[in-house]
Amino acid sequence: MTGARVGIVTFPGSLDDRDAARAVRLSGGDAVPLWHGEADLKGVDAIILPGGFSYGDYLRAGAIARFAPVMDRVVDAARGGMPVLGICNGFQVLCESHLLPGALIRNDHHSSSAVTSSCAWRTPTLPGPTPSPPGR
Amino acid sequence: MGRIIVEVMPKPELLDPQGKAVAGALPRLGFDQFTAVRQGKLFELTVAGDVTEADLDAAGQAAGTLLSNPIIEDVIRVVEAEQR
Repeated sequence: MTGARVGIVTFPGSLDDRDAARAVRLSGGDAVPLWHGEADLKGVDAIILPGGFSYGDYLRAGAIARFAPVMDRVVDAARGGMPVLGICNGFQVLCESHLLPGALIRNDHHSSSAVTSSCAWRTPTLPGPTPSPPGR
Repeated sequence: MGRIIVEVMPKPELLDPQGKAVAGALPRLGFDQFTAVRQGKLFELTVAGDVTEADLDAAGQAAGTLLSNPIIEDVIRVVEAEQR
């Protein structure tokens, strides 16, 4: 991945953006910090949405981050073929953006070990196509 | 100031682990007549003046985009709140 410019988005509550940047650098790429409030991808070749708790997981995990100004550009870029990696909370943001099918729901088991896997996957079972983001 | 109430519930066919956990705890307090619990969300949206039809339309759009995720949740109600 030598020379690749990889954008890493920081939302309020992102925790692993620095780790992601370090991983990009160790892999030989250039880590480019992207800010949630700026609708600018700064010419990157790929994007990482890091883990953490964007907006404190309020409403639904990833639901508020999905409407950050930078995300409109991320969604457009992804639909145009740009590689986008969502890790943990970043994955949840991708689901809320409808870039990935399905949604995350809470676990059914109530044991204390559930803290290590705090969500479950649900693929859409709606008869129609996956809902598109508004305005598309 | 007018207020609009938006109610969101998990889809009926979907497991609701939060409601299930609450249902499991109720009998411990002696409430053994409730056979099931489902847990949803209620939003109160406030506008500056009286609630207009346009406000209700906007609330409906907000309910379908940000306030709920249509894959897992249904918007049950978007109504003007009664005066307190």
